[in-house]
Amino acid sequence: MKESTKKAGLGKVFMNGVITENPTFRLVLGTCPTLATTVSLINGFSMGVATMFVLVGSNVVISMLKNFIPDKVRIPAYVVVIASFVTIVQMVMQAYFLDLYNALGVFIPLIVVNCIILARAESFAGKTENSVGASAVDGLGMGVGFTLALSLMGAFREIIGSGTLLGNPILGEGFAANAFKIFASPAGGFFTFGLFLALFNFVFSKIDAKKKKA
Amino acid sequence: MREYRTLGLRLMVICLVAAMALAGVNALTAPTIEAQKKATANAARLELIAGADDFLEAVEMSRFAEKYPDVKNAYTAVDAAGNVVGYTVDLNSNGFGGAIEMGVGILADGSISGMRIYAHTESEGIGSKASEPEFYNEFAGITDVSAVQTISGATVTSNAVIKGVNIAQEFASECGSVLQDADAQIAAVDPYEDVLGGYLDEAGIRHIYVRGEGFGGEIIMLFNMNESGSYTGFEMVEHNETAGFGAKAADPDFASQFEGASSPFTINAISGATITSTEVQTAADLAAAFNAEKGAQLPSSFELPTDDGGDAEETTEVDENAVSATAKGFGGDVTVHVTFNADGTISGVTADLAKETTGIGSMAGEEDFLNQFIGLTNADGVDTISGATYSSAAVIEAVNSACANFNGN
Repeated sequence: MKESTKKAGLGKVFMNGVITENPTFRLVLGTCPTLATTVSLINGFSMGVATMFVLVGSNVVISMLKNFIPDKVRIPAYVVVIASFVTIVQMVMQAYFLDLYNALGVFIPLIVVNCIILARAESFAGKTENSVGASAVDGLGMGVGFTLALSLMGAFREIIGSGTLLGNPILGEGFAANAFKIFASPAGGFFTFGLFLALFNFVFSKIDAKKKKA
Repeated sequence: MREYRTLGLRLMVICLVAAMALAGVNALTAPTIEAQKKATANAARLELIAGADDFLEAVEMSRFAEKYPDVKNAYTAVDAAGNVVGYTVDLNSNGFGGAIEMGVGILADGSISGMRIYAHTESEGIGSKASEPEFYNEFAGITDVSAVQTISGATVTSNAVIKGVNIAQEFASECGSVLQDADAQIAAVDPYEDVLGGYLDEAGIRHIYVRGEGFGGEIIMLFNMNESGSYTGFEMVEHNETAGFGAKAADPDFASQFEGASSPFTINAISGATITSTEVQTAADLAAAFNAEKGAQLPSSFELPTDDGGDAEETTEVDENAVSATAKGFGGDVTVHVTFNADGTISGVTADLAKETTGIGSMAGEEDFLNQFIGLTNADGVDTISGATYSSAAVIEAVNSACANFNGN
């Protein structure tokens, strides 16, 4: 009995990050890398995975250390932990995924200041009532949500802006040559972000309305 | 107090553990990253010298900075056996819009194996053509860069690139063999670069011509010196200094102070003409040094190299309100005919650009360009034509000299 409620709780924590409190479309956090790196599916996906790794890692470590870290210096302590994970990601990517490292450029070190990570550390992993396991699941859920959001935007912008998906001209060579290039440019990032935000707000407002009726 | 100690201590422990973790990851990834970086850098250099096995970075590049200030970096290309194949030289050359960053591959026999432009700020569609294969492939395999065809309409850029390749060749031939030898020095810059030459007359007086950069442009000075290092005379041979200020350096009053003065000699500066005075002082010191070292070896006769009139414009005819003037264009002389209103503003300009390239330089003869001058009192403020810089600059220059002449009369 006890086991099952715990599992249900973890499932809820996970889905909370993926859908209900999706960091990109619901909380509108971490918009800077969202706008900048979603020019293609692979870039958006990689950025999401890199952020997810840092999220899970920092959530676990911060949750483990929450009784060790004094409350007064928790922010510097969190930042040290987060920055360490970001540096690890950076070094590993530079060594083994050089193309992605070059494509994502300055946005890899900037994961340090991605507010999703510090927000989860502060509001979830650092709380005494949340266990290390729950913090890991929270990081994973938020990470998956972020990755999904970035992949979705990346895929959309790549198809519309470059006429390709994962580098393959899925809409034919003719479209690839005359694609809506603005969607591959920074301005297109804003367009896409706005469209997706509108879509999610619409869907969630319908769900909320239904819930109220019920 | 105890609380603060705990705070600091715990934060320090966290940082310490983080640093150790990072050091561990760094130790694992650093060799791979290093190899990646080298491969990336070598891939760019392989474009310049194909077939090289490795590129060795030059040691102590600062040794060459004085003589080759534009050369940023150089590598020795070696084959698998370690024999020198050639050199790659990275350098900047000043183009139309700014510095052009380029790399040149020079084989051991002095021929060019490749040239690439890495970054530039040249006009898009005009100077930018220099970074395209059609242009850079011209360099591959040749030794004499004068054979390279400049890009029509992008002469300034092309010439800058050609000049850069030439510098790279000179650099490779002079410094290539000592790139890896930190102790080897190259010959310094000629300290007497500004000494134009001179002659020794029958009385044993050394006449030394020195050039300098005055306030109004190039100045040429003549210093007469004897064997013991004293000045016996000074003459301002050519100058374009301001009348009443810098031009006083050409007055006999100024020149007389040199007579009998022994070097080193501090000249009496002309009040209000600091730049001119400083230049004369520098030239006087240079002439003295040259005299001491090489004065005895001067030939018995010397002729000043005459200005080829490259920039000198001449005004040919002046009637009441029309002036013609000539300046040097791209293909030859450009003649303009300027008519003026009574108030000194330009009422019309026609230009003879028969010697300029049809379709490019000839644009400077079209109404669109020439009508810009109407209503002005000089040609300042009229921009050159993109792609026809030489021709349009010549027209502007000629119009300016016509204006100066009209106002002078």
